[in-house]
Amino acid sequence: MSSSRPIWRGRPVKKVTATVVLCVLAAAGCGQSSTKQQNTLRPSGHIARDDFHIFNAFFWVAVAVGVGVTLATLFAAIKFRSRPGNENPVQTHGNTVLEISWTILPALILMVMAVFTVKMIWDQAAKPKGALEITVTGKQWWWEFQYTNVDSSHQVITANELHIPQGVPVWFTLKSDNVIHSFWIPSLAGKKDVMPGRFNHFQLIADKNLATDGHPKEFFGQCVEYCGLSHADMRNRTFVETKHDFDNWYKTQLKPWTPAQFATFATFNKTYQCSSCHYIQGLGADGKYDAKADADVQSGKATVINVGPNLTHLGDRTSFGGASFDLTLDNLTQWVWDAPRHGTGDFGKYNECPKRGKGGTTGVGTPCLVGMPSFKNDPDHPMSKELAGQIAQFLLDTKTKASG
Amino acid sequence: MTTVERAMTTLAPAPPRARLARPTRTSGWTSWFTTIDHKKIGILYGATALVFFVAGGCEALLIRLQLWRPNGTVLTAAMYNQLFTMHGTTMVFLVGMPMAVAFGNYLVPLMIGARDVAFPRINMLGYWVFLFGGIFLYSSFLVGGAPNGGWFGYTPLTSMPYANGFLPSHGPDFWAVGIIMLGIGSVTSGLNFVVTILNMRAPGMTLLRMPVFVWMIFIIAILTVFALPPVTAALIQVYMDRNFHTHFFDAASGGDPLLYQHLFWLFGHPEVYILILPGMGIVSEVLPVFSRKPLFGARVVVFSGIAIGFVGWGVWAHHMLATGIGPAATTGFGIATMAIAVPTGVKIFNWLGTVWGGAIRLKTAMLFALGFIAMFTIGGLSGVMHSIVPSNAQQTDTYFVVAHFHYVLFGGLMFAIFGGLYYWWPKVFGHFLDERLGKINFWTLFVGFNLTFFPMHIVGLQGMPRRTYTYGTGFGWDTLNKLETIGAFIIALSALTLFVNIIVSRVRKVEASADPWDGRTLEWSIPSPAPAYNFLELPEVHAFDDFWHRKYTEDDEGRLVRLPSGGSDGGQHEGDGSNIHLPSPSYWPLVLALGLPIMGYGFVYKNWWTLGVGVFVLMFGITAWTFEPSTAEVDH
Repeated sequence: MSSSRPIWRGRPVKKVTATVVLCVLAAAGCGQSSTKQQNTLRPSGHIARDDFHIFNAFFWVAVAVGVGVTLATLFAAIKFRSRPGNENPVQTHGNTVLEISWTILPALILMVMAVFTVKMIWDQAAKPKGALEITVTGKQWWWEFQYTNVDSSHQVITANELHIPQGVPVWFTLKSDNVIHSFWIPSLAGKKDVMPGRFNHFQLIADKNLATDGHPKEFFGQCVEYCGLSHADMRNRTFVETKHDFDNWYKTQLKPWTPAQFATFATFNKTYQCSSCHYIQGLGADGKYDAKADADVQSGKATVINVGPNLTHLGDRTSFGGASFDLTLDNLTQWVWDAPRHGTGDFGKYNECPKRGKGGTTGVGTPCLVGMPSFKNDPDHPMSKELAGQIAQFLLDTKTKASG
Repeated sequence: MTTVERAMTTLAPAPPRARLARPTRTSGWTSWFTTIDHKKIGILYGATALVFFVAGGCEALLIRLQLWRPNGTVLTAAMYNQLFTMHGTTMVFLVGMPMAVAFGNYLVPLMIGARDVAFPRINMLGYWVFLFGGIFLYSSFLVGGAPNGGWFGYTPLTSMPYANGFLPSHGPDFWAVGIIMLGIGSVTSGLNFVVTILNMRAPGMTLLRMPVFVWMIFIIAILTVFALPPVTAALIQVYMDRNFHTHFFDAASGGDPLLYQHLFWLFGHPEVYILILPGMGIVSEVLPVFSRKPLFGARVVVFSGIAIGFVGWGVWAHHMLATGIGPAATTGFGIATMAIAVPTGVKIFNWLGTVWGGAIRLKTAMLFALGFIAMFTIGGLSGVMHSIVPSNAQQTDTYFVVAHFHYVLFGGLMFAIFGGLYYWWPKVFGHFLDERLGKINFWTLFVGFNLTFFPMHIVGLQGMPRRTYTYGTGFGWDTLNKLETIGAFIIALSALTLFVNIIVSRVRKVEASADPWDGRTLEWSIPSPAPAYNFLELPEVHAFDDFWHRKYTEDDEGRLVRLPSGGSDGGQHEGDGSNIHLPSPSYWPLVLALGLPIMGYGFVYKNWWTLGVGVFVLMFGITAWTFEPSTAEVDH
């Protein structure tokens, strides 16, 4: 037994100091620049800023208490070390005044905190007046957005990428037909869970002056409730735009394809049945445009097939696959060809569907519920990479963005 | 006279030799299978929990390797999801809880002056159920996929039928059945502690003279007994939904996924206190000994523990503040959560008051206890931040939460457990753990721990969600994730130091006296290692820290004065204890427990023959248990 040998005396202090410095450096080291804004510490909306401020207020109380306790522990460990002559210290059993005060004081601090907390809870729960209303549906693993009150007879349905005007309150209705998700855009507002069987709501207001015409401000977010295999790939992007840009975008998202586009799509769809999972705006039973069907969906009278995202205006987006991948020809080709296994290892994320038997039936065990199948390995019609490239190019060409 | 002794004496004359004779060996390796000695069972619990600690640690290291860089390719999503699920499940059910039971088992009878626990055979049953439950859970890795729905197992992700489920493997079935099984073990050991502490204290050991550690075990035992039933109910529902097409949690058929969360967290939050209170108990024993001062406001520490135990039942929905339970509910649960910070804070200040003005010896155990104070404080403060509901909306389900509960459960509980190992090792094994290695152990852990978990606060606030197997570039999380991974490997190194220390110290065998630290509680009044019978004569207790007061008194200024006659042996060394009747070993806890995992496989695979075999083994164990003689036959 080595009894407190002098070699250790004083040493712990240096080590602790080193650790503290290290931690501070770690804290500072995050000055690493980020190009994608998904950060609660950089709020760009009213709600996120309120959340940040109330966090910040208590943060400094916490720092004071934390540093105080740590320093007191350190100080005691050094100052009251056992030395010859002080082995028999005064035996204090307690101190009523001290004990009462360190019970009351934290209680008081917490009471102050509680007042502000409760006020903010109720403020944020109220539906703001004049809000843009969007219904968010959590899917495995992507988001569907339906704009319900911009023009209730012409509702836009889109996926993964949200467009909102700056300075306008937005009221979200969240729903799910599968598992629990949680919708979150950290720089704009706190998260809210997306519960099957319930309609949850939350609001956000993006700051004014974030965007100018033609230059939207982009924010990132992602699903924050574990929702199965590809939970990490269920992301979203938000474009905060000027009113003018938003209105323009909204109009483009209502336009159906041209007859020529419908004709081309029919050739792909015949073999690979894209539309059995994906919504194509106004796609009729004969593969041509059906105005009535389109109108019914736009006015909310009919629901759409939405196992996968609406592909009508995919070309207008910047990403796909739960907003996890940038929309480039290479990426999209690979995705269409062999989604479960991407050559670069960047994919391989989505559920690999069990091998399909002849005739499109699912094989033994589990049916393919979620995720893109591998058409490369389709037992009936193995897809060539060229064809995948053609389909990808076709989808990119759905870009309709009107010039400012 | 203890209950045990009373039972012994009323048995004469001995029954005729029965078919179900009890085993008689109390030494040798086979005795470990039949022992009902609370000390041996404590050692078994501790050793097994350490093995699972290594398993859970390896899972954590793989997770950290995957997150070393953006778009990591070390693990697939499917593997990652299994690993984080099993890491959490392991650390909670197979490390944290059993560690508390290990310390409690070994120490509670010694600290209250008893010769064993109230139900020695049930005690052993609890251990076997824990061991088999753990092996059962881990066997899932070998048979087609470990649990992958998270340690919290939210429905409907985990509860949709296997055939068209969201998690198409038997993982969630293993998880549900395994946790139910482990729960049986926890409840039995909880009941055992409650009855032992209430009924078997030595004369004069009033409740308020009990050591704080015993108090904390008492509280968590009560919490365990009441917390496990709700989650057991929920898990049975999950199992039924998956396998028998019930619709408890299926919203499309009128079920409610939120119901599961209420049931789970009604268990899950008391569970948090079940995990941390024993740590607080250990620290409350270590700090006074190495400061040579009594625990400051000992009664307040006890009562704040009780307060935490009570209020802990009223805060469960703070895990659900983002689920849309409405502003009224979030207000209530937010404020309740703030309230629980008060008794917790009181404890921290009382520990500081204990070391303040003491004569501190910085032994390894003390370093861990001091580390506990600082680390737990940080974890507590970030916990209070979660009670600020709007702030919680930004933090929940991010790495900020991961940082928070690791500061509580690793910086808190595990620091305390490591400290407890160094403190009580001489009592348990009769030799010290090496102090030099111990200090390396502490400092590497301290540095590694903070390097791993402190940056998680920051990446969490920067928007990094938990339970994600990958992250993209450009979010500014890369550097901090690298630091975290480095830190995790420093922790691994530190854990390795502990194991090296255990081996080295065993070889060197620096023998310990009965009272090597100048202790305060009764376990230090008996020889090291503690003899099978614990106390030759049951002690009579006159005060809190009774053993200390046999050695010391205070002068007029309150200074410590050693009593001339006070000795560490306290007159406990006379005689060899051979005349003390101890409960006999038994085979049947092992047999009974063996039935459970067999039944478990039957349930998971819906194979009713296997289930039948399991039920038969279980019933056979129960029957034999009932009819075995209550003592080994000895020549009278």
